[in-house]
Amino acid sequence: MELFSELNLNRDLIETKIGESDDVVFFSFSVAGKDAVAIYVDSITDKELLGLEVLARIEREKEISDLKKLSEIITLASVKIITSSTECVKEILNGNAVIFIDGQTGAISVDLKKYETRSISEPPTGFAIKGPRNGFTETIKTNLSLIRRYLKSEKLRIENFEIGTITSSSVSLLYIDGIAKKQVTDKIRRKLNEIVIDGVPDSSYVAKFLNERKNSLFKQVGTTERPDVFIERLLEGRVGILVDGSPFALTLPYMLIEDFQSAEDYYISSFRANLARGIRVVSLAIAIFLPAFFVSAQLFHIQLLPLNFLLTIVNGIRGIPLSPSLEMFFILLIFEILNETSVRMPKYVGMAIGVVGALVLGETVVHAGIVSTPAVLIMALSGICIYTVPDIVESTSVLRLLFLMFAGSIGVYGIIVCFGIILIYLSTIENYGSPYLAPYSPLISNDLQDGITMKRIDEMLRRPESIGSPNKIRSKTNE
Amino acid sequence: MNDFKISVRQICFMTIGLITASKLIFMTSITAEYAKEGILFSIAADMLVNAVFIFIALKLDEKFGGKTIFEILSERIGVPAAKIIYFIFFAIFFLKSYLPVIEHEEYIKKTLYETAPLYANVIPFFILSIYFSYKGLKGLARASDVLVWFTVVGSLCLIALTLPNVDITEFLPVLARPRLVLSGSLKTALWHFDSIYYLLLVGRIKREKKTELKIISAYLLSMVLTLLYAGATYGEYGVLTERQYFPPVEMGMISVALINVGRIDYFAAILISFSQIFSAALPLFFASLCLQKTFSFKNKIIAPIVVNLLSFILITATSDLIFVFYDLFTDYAVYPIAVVSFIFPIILAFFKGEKQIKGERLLYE
Amino acid sequence: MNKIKSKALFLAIIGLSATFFSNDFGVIDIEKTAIIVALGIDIDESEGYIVSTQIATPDPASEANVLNDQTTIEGKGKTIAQAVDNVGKNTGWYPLLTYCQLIILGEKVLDTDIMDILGVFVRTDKVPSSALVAICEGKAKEVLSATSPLDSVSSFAIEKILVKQIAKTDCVAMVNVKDFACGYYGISGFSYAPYIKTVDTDAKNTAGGESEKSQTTSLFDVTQTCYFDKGMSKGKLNPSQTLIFNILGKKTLEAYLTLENIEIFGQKADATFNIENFSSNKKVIADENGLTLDISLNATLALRDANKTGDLKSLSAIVDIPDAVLNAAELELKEIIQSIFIKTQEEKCDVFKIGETLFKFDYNNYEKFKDKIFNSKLNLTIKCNSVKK
Repeated sequence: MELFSELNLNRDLIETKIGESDDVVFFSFSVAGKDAVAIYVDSITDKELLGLEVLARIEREKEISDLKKLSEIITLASVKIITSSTECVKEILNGNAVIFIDGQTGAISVDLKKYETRSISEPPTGFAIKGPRNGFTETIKTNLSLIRRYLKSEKLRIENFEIGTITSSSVSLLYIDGIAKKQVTDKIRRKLNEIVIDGVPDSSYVAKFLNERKNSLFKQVGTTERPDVFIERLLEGRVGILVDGSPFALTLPYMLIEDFQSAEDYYISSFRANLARGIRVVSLAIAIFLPAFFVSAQLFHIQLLPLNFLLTIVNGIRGIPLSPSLEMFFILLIFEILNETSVRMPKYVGMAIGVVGALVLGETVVHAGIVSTPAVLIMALSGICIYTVPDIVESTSVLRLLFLMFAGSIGVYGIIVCFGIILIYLSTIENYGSPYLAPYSPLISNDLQDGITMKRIDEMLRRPESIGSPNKIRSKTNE
Repeated sequence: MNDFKISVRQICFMTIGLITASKLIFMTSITAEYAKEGILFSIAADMLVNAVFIFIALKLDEKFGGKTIFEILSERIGVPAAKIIYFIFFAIFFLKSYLPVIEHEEYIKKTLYETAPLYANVIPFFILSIYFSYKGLKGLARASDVLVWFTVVGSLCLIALTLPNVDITEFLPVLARPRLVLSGSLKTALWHFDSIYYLLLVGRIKREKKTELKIISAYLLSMVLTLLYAGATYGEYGVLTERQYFPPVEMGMISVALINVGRIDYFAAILISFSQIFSAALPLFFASLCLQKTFSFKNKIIAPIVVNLLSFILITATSDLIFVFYDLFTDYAVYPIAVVSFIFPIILAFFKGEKQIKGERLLYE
Repeated sequence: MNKIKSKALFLAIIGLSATFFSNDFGVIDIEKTAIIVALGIDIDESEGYIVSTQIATPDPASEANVLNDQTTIEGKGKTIAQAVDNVGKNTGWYPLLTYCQLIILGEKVLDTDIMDILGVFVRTDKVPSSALVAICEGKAKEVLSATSPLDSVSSFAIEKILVKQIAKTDCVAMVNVKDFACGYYGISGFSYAPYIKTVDTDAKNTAGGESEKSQTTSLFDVTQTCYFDKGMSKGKLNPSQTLIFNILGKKTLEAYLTLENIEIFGQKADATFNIENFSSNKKVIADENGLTLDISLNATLALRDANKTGDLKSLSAIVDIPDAVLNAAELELKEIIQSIFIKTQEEKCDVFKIGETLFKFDYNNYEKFKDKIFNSKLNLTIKCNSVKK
């Protein structure tokens, strides 16, 4: 709806739309003898700047010919004339101040946003001992500034979107022109444009819309809180997405191997990095399969257990009322409850929960003869190992339960068959054109440079073929 | 699925990973029963014959310019006739599937369980088999990339564990009894009709330089691995080999018997079991492919379900008559399978060929 | 389609949960399993086979998983399998034989075909064919029930002797079910098994409340070897014959040879030598004279100990061994081998696997000479060297 020239009508119009909120301020003043009003949201607008740099200057004017000329005396960067009430409301809610003057059609919008933001700090996830200490924040502008600061390329493209019919959240699509695959950027752009939702409080909302398989257990969009990782992925040919309000940036296409690649791997010696990656793979295998193998060995394949260990188990399970599978299920349940509680509880209570869970519950259930010591040990080991690859815990914790159920039902054969089905599934799916299990299935020899084992940075001469970047060469060796 | 082309590397991996795994259970003991000390010659003879027919199949792929057998037949003898031939192919693959499936079931039942009901291992196998067949060539190709390591690592571990107990004089006298060698080859031929798989891959191969050489080398490598495996078993068990029906859990047993860590050889056996499931499902996979081509079901899941359901019924119905059926299959099924494996490609070779249409090279498959 | 998939998934989860939570389809409960670590088999003319099973039961009082004082439970049956099953029937435990690594046969089985007994272990996969086989003096049950100072469980003590000895001194002819069966079904039909003699040691006093209890502990002498032709016992090799039998045809690590009353350090003494770099070659020659077993041996001897000492040099680790001693060693070895050969030829037991060697290395002559194996001649070439030379 177009704005009027009468101040009262404009004021009523805006009041009708957003005026019922107490934090929306209608500040009346006069300019060259005419009534004027500045409308802004108290909590997100810089009032000091409004007074000193806007209102003080306007009030000094003796005559108003039109809004355009008047706006020119405001020396702030983003000043514009708006003519529709919808735009007006949007500007106000974005933290800008909108100034109406009686007799003038339209309004002046001045960018005076002032949010309380978290300062850039080390990200709590993806921690690296060596490497940059900064992480993304909830403010998209800060995040974009971080990217721009470290990626000073004229090829970096940033496309902005507004998603959320109510929240109008800012979403940015980032890629490096000539390195990102055009089909992928086009597809993501199309998908972002197609999103219809009332609001996106976090990037995970956007990720759900970008998932190619909606019902898949497995993660399909890469996430990171680290600008260095984000930039690294853009350089590999991936496309990044930043969402206002979320410190987690999204990257696509996603491949499973990504989450085994820690940021630190690239900053430390490649020997140590290779060892660390090997440990991650082994730990994850232990986390997922160990409880299942332990249960199936007890139920179906006693011969798998060394005699001494078998006797330890026999000693341990004496008098325990639960069968091995139920026992392990029970411990897993306790573990998941403790996990859930420790995440949700306030920090100071969480500490107590840790003590209660680990010492009181753990010790007591063993002494009470409800579960056996070996079973607690196995689950504890699994519980620790699963966090060596924290980004896929959502999938791996479900897989652990799934394998446990198969093992408890039909033993090792169940584990093998279940693993076989998952292998077929994962090896045949593609994520924005990239094979999910690359570089192992299909085997892409070039990409093995940064797989479970990795080469030195100076040996990684080409970008990953699985991403399909049109610009394949990444570095040239000096030798 | 129809347009998917399998790369040469993936065929090589399928050969080493799945074809080898199909020979690691009963084959060694049955060959030993007939061929005695000539076991290695017997296996080598069977596999070399198959290598020749695999070469012919690969040449057919080159000759017909990337057209599948179905397309070649449709163009020359009409679609209905091509469908009939594909139905015959389905029947052959179905026949060929009996032995691997029953062998796999027995292996799992006898080695992984003290006691377990039949359904526990039959049903999961068929679920996997249906899904494997449903995913088509892409699933086979991509799974082969992974499975090859399971077969190679599993069998090499077992061979390594067996080596200290191997007595190479068990293979003496060399070729003194050629009749036994021949008898061993004939009696175990059913395990070695591998060339038939490659016939179905005609027109689906993403050709590259020296395609034939690479795939034949892979098959020969598979032969070497099989020979090492069978040789290690025979070298260790000698005359008793003929009753070692489940070598993966028997080969390493002697070496690990008196050590405190227990049956670590079982982990190698589990690796082999993993590849073995896929190799047992391989004939059912191709049977589904043929049935789908014959009836062109709208839903791709129907053919795999029908094939696996039929196999399930056959396996459960014959579970009490396993040895009767086993003899029946080894004695009679061998002939129709031999005809399709060996004579059909020769007939096809006389058809007029076509120019190879070169496709765009993809970065990965 | 999605609805069908969701329903199928839901049903699968229900099915999986049902099998997981019910989980009772013939599964064996470890607690109700008798983990059998050794079997003793005796024959009773009226009752058939008596199988004594040594069962591993952990000591609940101990934090470490040491075995409780051995539990030996007996089962009787017309077949071995029936006797083992009866152990289960009598105790209510499922007899798990997977961990059985020792099968001891009582002396009475020597009157029968051993494979009649061991056949069950080759036929089924329930017992690993890696289980060691031994014959014992008297009843197997008594050996399994004996108390050994080496281990609280007698079977573990015997396993220790059988396995450790074989790796070190070659004094014991270790054999497992697989090797026994291979020999039995092999061309020569020859197989062997160590013979266990229980040697009672001094009584051990153990505190038992107010009074002291006296308990006899036993050691096991396993240096004799029973040999069989087609499973039938033909005789025993004495300790020195067992040693030579063991080291023929393979490299030995630490075998010893003791010579009595030899001239060393200028005086008469008894001495023990390490047999180092031992190599032997065995071949069968078939010609118009019949079969000849040709054995050539090369051994390097090093003095280990003597019951007399000479000057300081005589205590050196590398002592020059006089030719006369080397000759005496050669003679000793020759006599031992000849004694085995003559004895086993008479008993028609192909201990030297003449038949098998002929079959493998000279197949063309095998058919011609296979009936003349026990008329073979022996041609021995033995050369002993001093380690210093």
